[in-house]
Amino acid sequence: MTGRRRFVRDRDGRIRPGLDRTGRQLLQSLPRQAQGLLEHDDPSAARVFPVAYPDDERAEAEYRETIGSQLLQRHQRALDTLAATVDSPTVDEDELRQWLGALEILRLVLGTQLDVSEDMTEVSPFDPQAQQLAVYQYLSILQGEIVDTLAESLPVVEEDDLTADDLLDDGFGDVSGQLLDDELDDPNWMDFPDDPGTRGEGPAGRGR
Amino acid sequence: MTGPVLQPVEVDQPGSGEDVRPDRPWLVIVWNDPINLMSYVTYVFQKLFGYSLRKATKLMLDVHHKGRAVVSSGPRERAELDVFRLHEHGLWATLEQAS
Repeated sequence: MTGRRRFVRDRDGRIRPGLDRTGRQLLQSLPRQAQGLLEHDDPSAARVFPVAYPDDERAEAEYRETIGSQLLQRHQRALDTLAATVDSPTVDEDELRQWLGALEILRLVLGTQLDVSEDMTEVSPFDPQAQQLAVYQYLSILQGEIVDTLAESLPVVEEDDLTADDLLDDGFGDVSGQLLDDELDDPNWMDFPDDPGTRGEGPAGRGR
Repeated sequence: MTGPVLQPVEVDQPGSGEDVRPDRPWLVIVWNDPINLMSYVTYVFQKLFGYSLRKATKLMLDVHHKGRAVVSSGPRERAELDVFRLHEHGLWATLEQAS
């Protein structure tokens, strides 16, 4: 389905994912695979459970003790929801938020397995990991589209007062202030600015 | 956000080991990573902290260009909750007490 917009909101506020068959099959099977990795503390799931206190072992152990199982449950709920609703013609806003969380987990796990870097934009078809990279990029595109859809329903926030910014000043200097206005106008912020061909149509969307 | 910070009183207690001055806020720091999408990080900052698009974008770009940014600060429990919510969203967040 070339050019068809995905994650379009209908009049009732429900969202039509509009995935093709390949995409739906992928989002059926990947959550189950990820569940297994999360439950067995696979090294590729490490990024899903980040360290809160890198310099304090005791505090980190307490943090993990307190929130570890809760974090695992949240992640499992997101993955379950994605697998359970991927064939539904429409999903509601909360289900779509779970999709977003599930795609995040899938990208963290797959990205860790592939050891992705920020400047990785071109995938050679001869790369032995080409297929996995294509899946990763497809998930990235879907996640970006879901963010766009969910961002539409964020409450409008007036400009924050400067005092809050001052309090948050981290003393690292202000590089981004100068860049901000330019970059706000640039629609291609995402991971593959040099590869506009992959936007809008996932590699997995091409007939197989 | 923290209110006005009182001047810390230096209390030197040899052997106490821990620094217990209560008025140093805890900082929630988000680190750059190669996986998270810029638009996703911005969205998470807006959603979790209620920041404007402009402020969320500025913080996201700070993370991207400088490698890290302080995204919130406050008492330890509050900061730890923020870190947990960021971890729920897959962001690489840590907390540390302001020096």
